[in-house]
Amino acid sequence: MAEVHLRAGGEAGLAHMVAGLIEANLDADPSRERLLSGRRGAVEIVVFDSGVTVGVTFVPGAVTVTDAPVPGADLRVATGADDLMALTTVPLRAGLPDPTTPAGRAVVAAMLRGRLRARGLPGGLGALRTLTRLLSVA
Amino acid sequence: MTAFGTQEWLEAYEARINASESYREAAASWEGAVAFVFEAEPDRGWPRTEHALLDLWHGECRSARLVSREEAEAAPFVIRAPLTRWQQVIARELDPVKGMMQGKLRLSGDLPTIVRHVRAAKELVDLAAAIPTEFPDES
Repeated sequence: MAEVHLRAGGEAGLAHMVAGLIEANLDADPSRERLLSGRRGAVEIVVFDSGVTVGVTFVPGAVTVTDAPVPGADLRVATGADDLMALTTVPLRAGLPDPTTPAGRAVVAAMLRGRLRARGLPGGLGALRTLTRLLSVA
Repeated sequence: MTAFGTQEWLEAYEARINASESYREAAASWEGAVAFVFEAEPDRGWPRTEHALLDLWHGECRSARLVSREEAEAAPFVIRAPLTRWQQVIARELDPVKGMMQGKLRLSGDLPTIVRHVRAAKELVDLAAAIPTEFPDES
């Protein structure tokens, strides 16, 4: 059973949301636990229009969500609140937004327009795919 | 003008929800009551916490009423915040999604369901914002 740890204060809404989403998705679909079986790495998510940052750290069998930046994160995703929500509902293909769908193309457009930026690719691609699959409600 | 958080205000809200085609479309697959907790701010003329329950079902609001704390907390989805935050949301000064991310609106319930219905949540806020509302320190 994969573990989800939350290290955040009560006012850290996004950290609670990210941890809650991951936990609910793992409960609903235990096959997603294999995403964490050999995964090590960290992703930092910055929601620039809300002034909120969370860190998501993977170790085999567990994920920890914090309400603070992660020094040395493999990947840093910076986006707005609405585009982050869109990232959780977009259909995925191989863990990335599926560009054959309208929602997938909307995410690609957000990247091209700078509303969604990912720093640390291609090295952080594995961590990104793990995160998107764990957060996905599509 | 209708006083915020009263039964009269909730009835106006219910009527607006049921008249909204865009909400009906956005919430077509939504099932479950949503409780709003308007937390006390005595220095703003809101002396005690009030609880409202919206029975929302497939794009329809079957009822909207003031309820007890126990009934509100038993709802599948609960959103709580002090009066000031609700006022900011209704005045469109605080986006509800950003408010949740910032912890200004505190949410409990099945998060995947909520995330799938973000557009419906925004429609609900727009409908609340359209009610001519008077807050306690404005009267």
